[in-house]
Amino acid sequence: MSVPMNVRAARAIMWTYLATGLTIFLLMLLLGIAMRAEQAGWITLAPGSFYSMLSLHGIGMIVAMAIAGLGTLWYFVNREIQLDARIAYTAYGFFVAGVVCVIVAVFPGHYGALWTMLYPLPFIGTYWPSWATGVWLIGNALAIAGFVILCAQMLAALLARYGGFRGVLAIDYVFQHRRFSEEGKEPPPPQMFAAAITAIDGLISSALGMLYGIAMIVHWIDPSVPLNPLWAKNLIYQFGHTFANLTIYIAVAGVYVGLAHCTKRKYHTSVPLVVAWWGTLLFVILAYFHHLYMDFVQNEALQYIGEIASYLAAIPVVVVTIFSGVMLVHRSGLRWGLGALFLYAGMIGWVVGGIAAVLDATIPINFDLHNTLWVPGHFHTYLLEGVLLFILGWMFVQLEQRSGTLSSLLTRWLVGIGIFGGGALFVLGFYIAGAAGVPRRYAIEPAPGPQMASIATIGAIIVLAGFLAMVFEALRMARLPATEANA
Amino acid sequence: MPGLLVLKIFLGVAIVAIAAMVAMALYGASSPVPQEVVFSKGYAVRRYWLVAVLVGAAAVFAISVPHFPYPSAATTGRHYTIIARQYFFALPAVIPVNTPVVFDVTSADVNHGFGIYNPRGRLIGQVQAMPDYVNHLPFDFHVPGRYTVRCLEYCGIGHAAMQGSFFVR
Amino acid sequence: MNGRLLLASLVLLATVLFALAPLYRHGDVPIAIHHLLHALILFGAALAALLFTWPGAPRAPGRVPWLLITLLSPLAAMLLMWPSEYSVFEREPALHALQHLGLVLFGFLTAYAGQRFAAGIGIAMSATMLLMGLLAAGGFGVSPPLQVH
Repeated sequence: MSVPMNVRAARAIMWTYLATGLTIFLLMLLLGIAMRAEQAGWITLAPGSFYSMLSLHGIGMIVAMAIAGLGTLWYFVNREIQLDARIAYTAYGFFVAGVVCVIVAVFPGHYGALWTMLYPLPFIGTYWPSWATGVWLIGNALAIAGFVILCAQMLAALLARYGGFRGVLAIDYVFQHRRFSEEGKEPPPPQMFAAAITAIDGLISSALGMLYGIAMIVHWIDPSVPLNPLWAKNLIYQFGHTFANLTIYIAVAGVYVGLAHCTKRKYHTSVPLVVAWWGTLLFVILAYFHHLYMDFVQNEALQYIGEIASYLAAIPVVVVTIFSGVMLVHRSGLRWGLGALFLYAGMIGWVVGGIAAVLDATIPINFDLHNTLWVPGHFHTYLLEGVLLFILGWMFVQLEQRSGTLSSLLTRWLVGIGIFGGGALFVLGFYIAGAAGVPRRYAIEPAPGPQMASIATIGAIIVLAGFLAMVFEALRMARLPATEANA
Repeated sequence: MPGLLVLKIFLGVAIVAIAAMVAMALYGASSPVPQEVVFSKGYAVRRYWLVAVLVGAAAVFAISVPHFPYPSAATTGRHYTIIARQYFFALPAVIPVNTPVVFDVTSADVNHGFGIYNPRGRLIGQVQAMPDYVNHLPFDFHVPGRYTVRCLEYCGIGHAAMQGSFFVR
Repeated sequence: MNGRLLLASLVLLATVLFALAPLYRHGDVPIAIHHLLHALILFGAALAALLFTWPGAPRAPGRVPWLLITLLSPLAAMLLMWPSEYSVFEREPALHALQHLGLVLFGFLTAYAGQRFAAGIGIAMSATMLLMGLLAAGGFGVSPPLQVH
């Protein structure tokens, strides 16, 4: 039985995106270990090098997760309606061009104003040449363009497949449920909501990110054009927060499909699931106001909206997505291959990172935690132990399905201890130091920063070992002969 | 709310959540049942879970609002101008103890943060220092001693070294 | 000619006439207001394009060039709104009108190319372009009002 051309092409795209994303992840992981080791006092880095590496690490990780997740999401959409592979490669070209620009801006450019650059920082008192700022900005714009291309393509496909926004968002399915089912119609499967919400929120946020990017490029060329710093901060955080947050909603599609496959159960679209995704659609683009809690000049109503939206964004996750995921696994008799293990552990990581986020999104708590290491603690939890695990989980579900085998118990323990155990140690270093008030983004930290950085470095090295073990296992499984059904 | 208290709450809730999810995965794993059995029970539980989460979130919100650090029309106190710049703070030398004060915080160049650390080295509050804007931070110091101010917004190569201090007497 | 095309033509005509305003109206307009008026021009041009292409049954995504045009046109429109150019435009109303016609073009192209790529995308891209145009008034070339304390 041969695989149709379309599926073959889609798989090629998915694996290209996955491999690219995971390669960037590995390189950024090495940068991260170097930075934590520097903060621990194990190695010496000039502050300028540290901040340049931090800038690259931040954007690199987010883009790595986005690329790996988007490849998978694109593959899922393609199963519902055939997509033009050329568009995915065009987007890939933009991503690669963006990554190249960003790398050039940092090596040799020494750009070091972070990826959430706050106007007027990249233009005042810099230790890098002006051209590096420009190349960085252009690189960011190219990467956003790649993202917009995929969002537009997926949204277009969904609109055509399900009959406009009304069908994509399953409005009739919710409000005229009886008639909808009597007419024998089917709502989109769960992973299509992940695609739709990614595409819609992605287009909105990218527009704001592009507006900021253009304003910054204009100021770079023509410094006589002033920008409003508060406006700038709102735009960059609206884009930055939403883009970073969307990576997990992109990757969760792998949970819907992968966990259902492992448990041999069905992950249905239900009315609560659709309503939950509507909530996500709205709250994900509003939650970013929590990044401006400590800007007291921000309109106070927006601060209230920030706290409420941050709380409400968590509800679809814990009441619907995670809850259903747990129900799917509960007493299903599934065999814990690496695929299922990663997907389930990823849900736990999402919850833990979410708890840390919700606490910090509470304004009186944020007063004492804003811009401390608590913040990286939270997002490393959900990126490393959430988004990454969803991506790896889906990858292993396919490898297991293709070869018809599971990894050995020893391999599962090695990879599990490495990535979950090392990861827990690594993020604990952030949380404890953050709770003690150690600021984030310090090349040299006050106590207990260095002590916690030592623990975190050990944790990160264990993660690296687990990740490498995972890579070898994936390569080994990929070389196994495919079973009859999956040839 | 002090960071270490938040850490304890976080670890407590996280451990419960992890234990619950692991238990749900392991419990009865050797005796699988059809999906409908799990889901019919689960959907019944979920309603209460939704209500519990909503009520919990609303309660936390309601409790948090009176503790918002923002100045109101009723805020009074002696004003101190704080100007941050790469990479130092212009600070008053002495702040009176047990007296309401308002810090008028701004920046002369890029965004900075104005983070106040008490004599024991704990972060007890902060506000951003933004160019073109003035943020008003009301504060009331009850413990005399030497307070450290650290920059809490990345501002360039000297960010980690950007600090100052004042005395509360 | 049916009613929809007539309406589309009227909207386009009104937008072009509005865009030519610098030729017959002079006045010192703050940059923020400029941005808002430009957003209005973008809106009119995009609306006309949407009316021209309406309804267009939903269909699978089309070709890459249309996608790139609908992606790049809003960016070109934002670049055309370069805030320091108005000091020149105050002396050269013809240039100013030309800039406005550029906005009409890019606004139209955003919606038209988007709809040519796939039904619905022109609407989505026009909406985000309008959002960019409106939000530009908040700080693109605009300093915050000086604070009194």
